[in-house]
Amino acid sequence: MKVKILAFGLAGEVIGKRSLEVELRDNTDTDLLKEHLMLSYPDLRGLLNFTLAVNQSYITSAVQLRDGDEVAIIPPVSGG
Amino acid sequence: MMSFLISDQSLDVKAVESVLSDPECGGIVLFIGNVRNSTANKNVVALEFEVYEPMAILELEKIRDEIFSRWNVKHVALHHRKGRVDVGQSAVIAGISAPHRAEAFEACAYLMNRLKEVVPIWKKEIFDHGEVWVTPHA
Repeated sequence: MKVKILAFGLAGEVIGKRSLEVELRDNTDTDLLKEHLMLSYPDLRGLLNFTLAVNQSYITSAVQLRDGDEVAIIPPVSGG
Repeated sequence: MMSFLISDQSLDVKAVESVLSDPECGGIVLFIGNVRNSTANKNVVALEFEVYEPMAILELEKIRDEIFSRWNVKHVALHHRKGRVDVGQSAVIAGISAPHRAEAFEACAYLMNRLKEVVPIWKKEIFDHGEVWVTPHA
């Protein structure tokens, strides 16, 4: 399955782009995706407390991903 | 009623005020957040905002619902810039109207606090030389 990744703020700089698609095995959850991302982009480990949003909603624990999901990497927000 | 706007153009205080005006409301509280020229003794020339727009609007709608459930407030407005905003320009305007001022003040403070906690917006400080993404409480 394919999942769209959006990387905001410092995460976008670390990854080098603001959006990408990743091919994942079926039944991948957000914890596995995080590991996958940190293997592909080791500098993400320096971003200690980023969280994820799946389909524009913060996750509070791991969720199962589905084909076509939009996952955003959310470093600490700093609006206002 | 509510008015949420993410814009790369100058923000318009009058437009926010007109959304909030209501004969039932005796009080309007507006907060205007401008770009300051320094941070931690460094000269700031501009801020640059990145916004996850669809999710920002969803999170603002949740904050509006929280406000409506906690205070007797009639209207909520939040206008926020995206992209580059130079020193002295407004980055954000938050506004609340309510029958009475005490609730408008409290709800407006809450709106700004929650904005800074949960709404997916990021700012980068641009200095004379170099730039840095802002981490909260830094």
